[in-house]
Amino acid sequence: MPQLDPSSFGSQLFWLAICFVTLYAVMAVVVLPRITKTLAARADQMEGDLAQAEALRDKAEAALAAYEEALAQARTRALGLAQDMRADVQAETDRQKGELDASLAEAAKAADIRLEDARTKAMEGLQTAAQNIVADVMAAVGVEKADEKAVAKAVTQAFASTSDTVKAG
Amino acid sequence: MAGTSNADGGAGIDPMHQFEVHPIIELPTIAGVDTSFTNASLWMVLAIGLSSMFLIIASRRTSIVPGRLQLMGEMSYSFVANMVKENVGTEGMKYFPFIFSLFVFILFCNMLGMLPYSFTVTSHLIVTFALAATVFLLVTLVGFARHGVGFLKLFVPSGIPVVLLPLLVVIEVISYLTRPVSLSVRLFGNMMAGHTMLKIFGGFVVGLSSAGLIPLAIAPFALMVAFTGLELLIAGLQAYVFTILTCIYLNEAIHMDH
Repeated sequence: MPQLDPSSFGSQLFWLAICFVTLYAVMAVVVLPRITKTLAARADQMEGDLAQAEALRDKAEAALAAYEEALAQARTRALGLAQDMRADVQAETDRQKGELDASLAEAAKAADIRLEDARTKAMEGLQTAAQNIVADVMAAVGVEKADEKAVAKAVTQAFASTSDTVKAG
Repeated sequence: MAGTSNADGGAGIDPMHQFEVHPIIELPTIAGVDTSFTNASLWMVLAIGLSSMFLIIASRRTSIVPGRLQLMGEMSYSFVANMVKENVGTEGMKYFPFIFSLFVFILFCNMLGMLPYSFTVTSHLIVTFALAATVFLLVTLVGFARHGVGFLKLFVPSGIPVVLLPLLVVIEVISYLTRPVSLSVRLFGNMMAGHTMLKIFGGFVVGLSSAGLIPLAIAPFALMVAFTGLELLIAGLQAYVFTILTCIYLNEAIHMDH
């Protein structure tokens, strides 16, 4: 077994020491610091990018919340405006209806008054005519001098009872 | 084993031939140390050369969105860094360059050893033992530096009857001291056994084919292909095991929890 031949040990150990120390120096001085720096820079960049992404997301969320709030406010306002408008229209309609009702009632009252006047006048005319007819009938029958006052009273009474009957009917 | 290492004639027959160390450039012995540049030295230099080149090029671009090569470099970094963080914690990151170098060195030595005609640096016990001993020394020094004499409490398990204590302390000390041995033998054994087996099956294929028995060579050839896949897996796995055990030992030295 050549591994157990001590004559090669010296040179193997000598060159192993040189090689390993050289490799250690190259790794420790050149390679590893470079990779450490690269990895740290990458980690920093990623952290920064992630932080930025998070900040942007927060901003977007805030914008969304503001938009939704504005939308809700607008909706509330629109609802309020619609209600106000409806109330206004209702009030105007009520007012106009009231005015119309009032004027109609007035016109009806005036018409009633005119009707009543006309009826009264007609009744008076009828009464006068009845009195004249009664007077004429009495003259024709032969009663010379009829008591004008009594005739008027009787006619009035008769009219009153008739008009009462008419009214009741 | 001098007899085996001299049996140079039967290439592909002697499965241990691949582990022989022979000098490429003879260099003088300085202070009792033979500095000759051998095939083992060549593959060590290739391992650190290739790994350094790969990682230097991979880490040259530092763009936020990595390319393929940059990503490979960063992934190997993160792989070892996570291993250290999970097993040792953030205090362990001080030793991250050492652990990363250890992982890269073992991984590249193991993987380069899978190339035909190459030499597997980690199939030599002296190399893996030197690495394991370095880890052992580092862990012990870190332990004493952080806890002082209190680090010796590591060998005294808590909640144990006093009668059993002397026995258990001895067992703990032995298990602690054998760590570099188990750590190095595990890597060395895996590498040597795998490569020997591949060489033996390769020898069968060549021997049977040259004897005109090509149909009979199909079975060992298929096995060799399968074992090559398995060996690639083991090459990566053993680098990982060596590194994670280093992390576990370091964690014990830093946090002193069993």
